[in-house]
Amino acid sequence: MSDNAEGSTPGPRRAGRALRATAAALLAAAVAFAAFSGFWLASADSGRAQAATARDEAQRAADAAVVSLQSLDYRDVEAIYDKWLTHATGLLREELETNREATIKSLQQGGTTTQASVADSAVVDLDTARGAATVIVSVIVEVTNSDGSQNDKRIRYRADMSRTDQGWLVAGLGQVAIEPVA
Amino acid sequence: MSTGPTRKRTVAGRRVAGSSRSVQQRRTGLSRPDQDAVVDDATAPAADDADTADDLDTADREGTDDHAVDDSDPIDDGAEAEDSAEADDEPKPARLGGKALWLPVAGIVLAVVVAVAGTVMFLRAQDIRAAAGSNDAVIETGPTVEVTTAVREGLERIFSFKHDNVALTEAAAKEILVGDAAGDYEVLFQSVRDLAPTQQLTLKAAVRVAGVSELEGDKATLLVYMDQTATRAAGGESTSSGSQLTVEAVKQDGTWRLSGIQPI
Repeated sequence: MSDNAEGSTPGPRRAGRALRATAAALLAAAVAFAAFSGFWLASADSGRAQAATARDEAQRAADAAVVSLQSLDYRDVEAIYDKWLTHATGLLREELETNREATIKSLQQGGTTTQASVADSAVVDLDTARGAATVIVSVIVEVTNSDGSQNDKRIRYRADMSRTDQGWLVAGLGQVAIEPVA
Repeated sequence: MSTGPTRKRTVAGRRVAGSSRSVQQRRTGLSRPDQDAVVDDATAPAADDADTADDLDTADREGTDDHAVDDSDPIDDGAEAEDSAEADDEPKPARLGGKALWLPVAGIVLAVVVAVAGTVMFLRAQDIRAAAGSNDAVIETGPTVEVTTAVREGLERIFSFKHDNVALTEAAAKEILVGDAAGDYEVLFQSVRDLAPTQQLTLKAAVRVAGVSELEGDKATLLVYMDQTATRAAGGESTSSGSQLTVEAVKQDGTWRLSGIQPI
């Protein structure tokens, strides 16, 4: 029977059937894809994503801040000091602001140029809820003294990072001092 | 799927509704002869409504069966409504533009909507997954603490040394170090080993801070700040030094071992 019908009007009918089959196949494929996407989204761990993002941002911010805070040109201290301030928050910022004049003066007179680079860094602690992180940053500082002599310093920094509206900033920066092992 | 009778009724309903529309199109000059039968049963329901058409359908179909020979055909093979509706009335070109199209078109539109929704969800999921990454360092507390503790203990053992018990340190090195770390360690420790007998050296190592920068499965990279105090038996004077080490660790048979130690 269907042969008969097709025989009499093959083209349009076939086209109609093909259209329906295409629509059904498209719909089935779309539903299957959406179902997979839904599952894929539901099983994605957004908590982990936030924590990982915070960790990486805190680390990057610490690297950048330490490089900035350890790089100095005695001929351009004012501008550099302003740049330092953009990386600092909390106690460190207060300290930098309080000591501004004295520090700038002594740095200008010191005649030293330093260029820091990060050798390695790692996040030690991360508290995403509080927006706090501790990052250790191993820094190599190339120092050019006023007499033109050069030397490298390897410094073990520990940076206390704080999340602010301006991103992760340094609230405290210190060296991990060498102590006798008991 | 719908049962036979329901299907048939639907089919008939659609056909009726469809016919009334196609009549106008057909008037524009397509096949006349066979059309009469269809027009007959189609005249009554100008209403598109399948529900209202239901009653008419039954009668309609019965009537049609007499007239139109190929009427039963679409019902038989019509797994979908439009198919039969189309097949029912011979002049197809007119039909393709007609009401019979709405279901596949709606299906395609729905498919597009669903696909767009799926794409949005997929991209969002990909964003989250990309952000979550594969680095477990710090954010997976258990494994992070585990590898940190193992590396700390391992380093303190292999960098502590008693001139009168060299074997202890050597055994620790053999146990803890794998791959390149064995060579790295030799370089770092050679001078100490040379000096030890004559100076009666004792070394004590302590890890001050260790942070995991990469942790993926059974591989990890750490940055370690370590202090060492060397004491000479003769005179008892001691000196302390600090180091910064990039340490690679691998987990083998459930135990973290050091596979690389690079001083900065």
